[in-house]
Amino acid sequence: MTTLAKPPTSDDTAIAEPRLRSAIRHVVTTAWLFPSAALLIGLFIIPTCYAVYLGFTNLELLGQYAQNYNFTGLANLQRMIHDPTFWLSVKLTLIFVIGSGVIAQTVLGLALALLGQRVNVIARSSVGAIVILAWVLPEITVAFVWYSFSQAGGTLSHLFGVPNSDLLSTVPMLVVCMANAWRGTAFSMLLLSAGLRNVPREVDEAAQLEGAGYWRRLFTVTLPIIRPTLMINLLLITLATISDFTLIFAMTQGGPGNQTAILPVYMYIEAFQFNQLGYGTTIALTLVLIGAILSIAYIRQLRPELQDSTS
Amino acid sequence: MKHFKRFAVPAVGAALLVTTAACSGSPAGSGSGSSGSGTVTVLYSNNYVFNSDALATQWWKGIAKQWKAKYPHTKLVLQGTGGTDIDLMNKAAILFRSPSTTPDVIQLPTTYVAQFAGSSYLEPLNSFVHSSKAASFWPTMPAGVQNMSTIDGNVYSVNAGNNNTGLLYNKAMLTRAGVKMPWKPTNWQQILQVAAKVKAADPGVWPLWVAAGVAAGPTNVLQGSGNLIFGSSNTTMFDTKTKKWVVDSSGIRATLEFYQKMFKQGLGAPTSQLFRADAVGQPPLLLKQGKLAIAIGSNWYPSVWASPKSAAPWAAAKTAVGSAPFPTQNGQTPGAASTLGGWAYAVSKASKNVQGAEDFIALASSPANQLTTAVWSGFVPPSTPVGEKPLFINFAPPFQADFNTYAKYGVALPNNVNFPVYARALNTVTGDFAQNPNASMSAELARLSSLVSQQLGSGSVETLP
Repeated sequence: MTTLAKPPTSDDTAIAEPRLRSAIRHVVTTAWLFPSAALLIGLFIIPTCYAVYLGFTNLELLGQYAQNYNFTGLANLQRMIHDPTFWLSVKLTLIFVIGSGVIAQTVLGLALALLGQRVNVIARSSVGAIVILAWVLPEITVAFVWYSFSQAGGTLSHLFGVPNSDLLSTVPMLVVCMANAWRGTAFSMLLLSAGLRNVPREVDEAAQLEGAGYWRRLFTVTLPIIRPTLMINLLLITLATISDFTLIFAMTQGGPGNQTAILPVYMYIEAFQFNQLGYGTTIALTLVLIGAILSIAYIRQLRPELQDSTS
Repeated sequence: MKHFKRFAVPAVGAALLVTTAACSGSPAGSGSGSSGSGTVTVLYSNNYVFNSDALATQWWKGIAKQWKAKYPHTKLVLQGTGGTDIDLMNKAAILFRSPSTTPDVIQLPTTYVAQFAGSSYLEPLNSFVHSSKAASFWPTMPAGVQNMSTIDGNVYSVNAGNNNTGLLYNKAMLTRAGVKMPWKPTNWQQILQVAAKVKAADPGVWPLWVAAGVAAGPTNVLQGSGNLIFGSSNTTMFDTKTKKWVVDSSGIRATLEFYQKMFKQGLGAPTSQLFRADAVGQPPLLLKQGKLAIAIGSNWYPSVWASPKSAAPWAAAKTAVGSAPFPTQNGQTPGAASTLGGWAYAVSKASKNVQGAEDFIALASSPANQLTTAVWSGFVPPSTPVGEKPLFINFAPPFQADFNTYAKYGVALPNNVNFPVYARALNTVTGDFAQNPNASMSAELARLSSLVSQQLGSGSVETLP
């Protein structure tokens, strides 16, 4: 029994040609992706993997393990778990992120955005410009402004009615939180103002006709509508605040003692003042992990809105 | 150890430059031009060691010129870097991680020599410094200064200049408080008593500056608590026999009790001043402004006032400010105490031109270059004969001569890789007393111990009598 090969028909050729073109396009597309992939691998993935590796070594900036360091397994993690300063630092980081970022910046930003809706354009623009000025100032400048502001005899001490008190020394965490909130509020205001502009006027008016007061409309109409904007705002604020270093380091260097040593500052102290580069890297990785967990939590909160928008 | 950009001294600078230029042809060490060829790279601080950036530039340009004249076939590459001493050391530590980026010579604070040597980054200089032909400067340095460069019998650096400590006080403020001039306390109690009198006479001023808190880093031990510990009945910070850090001793307790008494009586500077990142540079300014009466201060303070273009020109300082050695706790022998810290040059182990690197150190250590370094940086020169030169003594009189006499009390801080950990713990505790003078002594001693042992392990600390 013999089988004869079916001669190609014009239909087959018609199918094969697009396939060939598709394959070529695929190869070309892949080739075009190669530079960005190489950059991503070379500048992000490999350094990140190397950093993860270093976090499990006893590498020192200076010292007997500066050149000849070893893989030490979970030693850095064990040390971290038993390090009271690390846990203090975690606590301070959460206070800083939640207090000055999540709560203060969001509440103040929302308040300014809501107030901005109720005033004329000139007043809104003027206030907005002033608030944004704080945001566009370099962080180091903000640190020096607040450093002077919170000294004995400084304006803040006078406002608090304790002109001779060094607030930066007596309540250091409160002062750095206030400085961060002062700086970051403009970002929330901008984002939430944009969100508020997307609230349909008819919905608000309908609620008003139903007899709902201002606060009722705010909490049951406005905020649910701008919820995705709020969540994105919280996500961005959290990620920006959790990795903040300049503001606190310039104001207090983590002191007095370790009273303002949030994780990025503590990481710096360990890595560059105590020369414990490996341990400092472990702290940095923990910081990344905390940031990732919080990001996932926010994104999960956003999922219903994202699903709604895609369906 | 310098701490902030201070001032320019163009007149004296120009005079010294002429001297330097005149001396540049004289033998700096070997004088043989032994660097045959190649390159010598030097990493240094261009805005921390000298009193101003301009003076740093002027000094390094002068060195480059001298080098070119003496070693025309060897290229000198100068790598100046900005920031503080810690920034310089961090940069250096990163550069040293690869032989291709490692400089041949590094300028470093003496407290870092052990850290770089402990990292196996430094070339021992024993044969170099013991060669009278190559290093004629070495025998002119006193043993205390030589020891600052020596670890386990190996010489790893050559000192370029030192800072020591004494008391500096505003005479008018003390006179108003009824204190007879010249004031020369013989124990710590007398210092507190006079500070209390100043406070009584003028409640608006800060009577006494003793560095406290973590803001200025290990420098606060050099210019603050270290002097008290060295003046106490037990001066040990690091026990070289047991290789442990002392976290409780009669010396540590006496030191912390001094801080506690000072702050409890309201005699210390406020935390807004002490906890500033630039706190180290404040006392000379405050003394001039009449806001501060007494400071445990460094030999470089007078250079802040010396010139019309200084950070705080104060022509009257020579008569308005008095100085005295910082006494021991109860006046016990030797009668006074001082920390000793400074800057040095070291050669990297990865250097491909060790000979050239040593030639550079010899050149930088010539009497003329030591002199310009000392005057332009506010150092005590490492070589005794240079410190006795009229050009040095007559700069910012009478203070240079006074601090020269205090140099004999100088004791170097522990030359150990973990000193930054100990320093931060000690600074944390002194800062605690500044914030809360009623803090319990036992709790603070426990805190000192735990801060060190958390970092270095529980076996790293000990208690001494």
